[in-house]
Amino acid sequence: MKSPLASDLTGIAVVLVLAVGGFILFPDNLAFLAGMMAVILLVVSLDLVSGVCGVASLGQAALFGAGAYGAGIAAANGLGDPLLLLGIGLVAGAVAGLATGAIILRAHGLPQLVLSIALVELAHEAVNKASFITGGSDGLTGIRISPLLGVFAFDLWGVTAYWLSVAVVVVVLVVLRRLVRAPFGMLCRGLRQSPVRVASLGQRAYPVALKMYVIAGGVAGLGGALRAISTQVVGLDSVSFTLSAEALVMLIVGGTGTIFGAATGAFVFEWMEHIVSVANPFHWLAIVGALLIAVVLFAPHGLYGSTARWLHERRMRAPRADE
Amino acid sequence: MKASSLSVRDLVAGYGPTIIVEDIAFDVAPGQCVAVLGRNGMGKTTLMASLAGLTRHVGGSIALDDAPIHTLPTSERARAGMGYVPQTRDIFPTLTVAENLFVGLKGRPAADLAEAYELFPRLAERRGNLGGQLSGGEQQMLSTARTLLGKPSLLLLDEPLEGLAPVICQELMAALARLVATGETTVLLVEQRVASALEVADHVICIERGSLVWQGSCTEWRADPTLAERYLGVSALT
Amino acid sequence: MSAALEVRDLRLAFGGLVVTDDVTLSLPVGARTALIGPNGAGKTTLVNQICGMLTPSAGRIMLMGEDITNLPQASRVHRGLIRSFQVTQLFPDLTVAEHVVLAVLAQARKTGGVWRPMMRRGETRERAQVHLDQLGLAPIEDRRTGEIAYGEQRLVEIAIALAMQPCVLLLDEPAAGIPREGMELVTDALAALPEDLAVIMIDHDMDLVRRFARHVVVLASGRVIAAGTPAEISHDAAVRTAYLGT
Repeated sequence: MKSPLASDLTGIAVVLVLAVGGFILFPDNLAFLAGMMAVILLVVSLDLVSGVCGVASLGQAALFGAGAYGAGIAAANGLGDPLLLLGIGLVAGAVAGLATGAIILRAHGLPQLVLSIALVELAHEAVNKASFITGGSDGLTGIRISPLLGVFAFDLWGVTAYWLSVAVVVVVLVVLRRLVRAPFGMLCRGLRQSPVRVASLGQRAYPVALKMYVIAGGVAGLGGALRAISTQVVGLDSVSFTLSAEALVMLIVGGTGTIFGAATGAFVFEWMEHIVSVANPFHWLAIVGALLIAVVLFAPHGLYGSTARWLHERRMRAPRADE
Repeated sequence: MKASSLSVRDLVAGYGPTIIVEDIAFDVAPGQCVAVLGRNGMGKTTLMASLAGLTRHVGGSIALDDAPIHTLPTSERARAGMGYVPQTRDIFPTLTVAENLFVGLKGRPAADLAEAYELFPRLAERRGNLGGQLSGGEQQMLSTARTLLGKPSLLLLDEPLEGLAPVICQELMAALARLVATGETTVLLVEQRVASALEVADHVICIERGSLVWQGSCTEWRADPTLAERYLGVSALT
Repeated sequence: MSAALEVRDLRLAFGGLVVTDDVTLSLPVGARTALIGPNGAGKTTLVNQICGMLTPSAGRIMLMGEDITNLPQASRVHRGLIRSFQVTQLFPDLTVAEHVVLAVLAQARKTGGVWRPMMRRGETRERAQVHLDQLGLAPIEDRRTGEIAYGEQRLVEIAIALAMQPCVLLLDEPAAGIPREGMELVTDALAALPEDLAVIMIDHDMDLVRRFARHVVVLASGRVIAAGTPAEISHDAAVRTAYLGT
């Protein structure tokens, strides 16, 4: 059996190769690629609550937006250190996770889904109304970022932002792949499959799920902060229902519960959107819809999930042939 | 309805990549009752599920009254006369006991529900309760009763005695014996309580690691105690 | 010395239906008690109240002399009140070994760890291995529980309960679905339970009940109708007609 560590290392190697390849092949698109990294963090965070814990959510952008506006407002008010801003985004996302999770996790199933939509709409409206601090529908501008570690300035081409994003994504993927195999991650996976058994292990479901929600909030918040740092503008779309729904679509495209699946889904979806919307700006949504239908029909566990299962089955079959 | 014959040839089936049933072949004559024996995890339940069309069919054939059914979905097999009572008691938890049984009638008049209540008086007492409110044993009764109401020409029973009180076990096995005696149903029975199973069965097939390793009459099985020891791992089966 | 588990005048009614009717039970330390009765007598419902999944309408439940009637289920588990389930409650995507390791960690209240992979915690793994071996589960420990036979799932259910190191153990039909040769593993595991552990077992297999129990309580329509040694119970006329048959 292939060890989990080996598959983690393979995954990270693939991410690094893609990152270097993207840098060399698309030097004019670094800002887009950095933006993609931020979205990857959003989708991975959704995977933690939906794919791992089984919490239905169509409001994950509320956490992403908390990180984006948290970091953005700090940067617009003179706090320009990028690492500090990442920290602010992480904390803002985690606090938002605690506040919204405390409400959402009281419900289950469809009511839970509706609650999550209500919360992201409320957050959207609150940010819109508080335009004196958030810039409202004009967006938050005036963000100034100091050079990373005092050395690497954030240039027009986005080289620094790109590599900072790559570094954050790699660290987050490594940490989360460990998290889902640690006792706490196992317990969360159990919560999705049999809450009755989790309770009989002496664990109350609510605090377990809330802890995961806070962690997911931190991850989404990091993504939001990355977007604020790399684009130096934060708009209302960062805290929208549309972004939340897109995140769910990306998660389904990639596959739930594996972290890598979420990253794959975000990567493929963002690329599709980028390429197809340029080629055919009027019908690109229809093409994305067709992709989604194709994935659900032919790779029901998502692109990554179905491939991983297929490889697993091949390994399972191989020894039988030798017998 | 008249009892069906069942003919299984070179059946290979499993779940996903895993093959569990390997090259099983046997025949059951109309009205026979066959006990399917074997150790835990040897594929008895998978064999039953394969006959019912709930696994991945890999190869071989299944014929009900000489008509091949292995390409048919579960619903069509049920329409062809197959009644399957799975081990997992899949009753409808949000329907009442009476509603659950009603579904099993398959178009027979509602008055025939009385047959189920006669077999399991406990179900009559609880006819207004939801399936999900029943105890484990009561759910088992409901699952079995619902299938029997459909008057299947081939009945597949997977562990029907599990969770039932001893007195209910005796009554159910007696009812099964009466059913077999009418010659209206062919029965395949998986049951851990081998002694009870052998009281109604006239034929035995033994499954080991997904393959059929022995078949014969109950008389032959009883005559050779080493068989039980070899295939079930118990010496003193009473 | 107080009893390990004491249930006093426990009562539960759903609407007009009384499912637990003034049940009183006492399990001394080291008890081996069987709870039998017709289907729908309220055996599982009683266990659900003892372990905190259902709240009784009236009555008290005492664990080791402490009133636990109003404690949540998790607190009862931490005090050593452990149950197994009649219908298996497992995580289909997790392996057999992962279940038992998780139970060992839950018992030690160490399920909060977010960094070190669960299956690479050596000492925990070894403690889990004891229970896997004991129930003959080692050969299938890397299989997901969704893929193993029902009887094997039942054994996992028992392994989890043992790994939780109970002081009072409630076994709900531990032998249901387990074939004869697996029964030896179960009876051996039951025989190897610590002497000071109090066990209450629901089962319909009277052979198992006779071998295991020193005391039998018979429940019918939510009420205790008889109690005594296995021999006394098998000769009780009321029990014979209501439950045992001929």
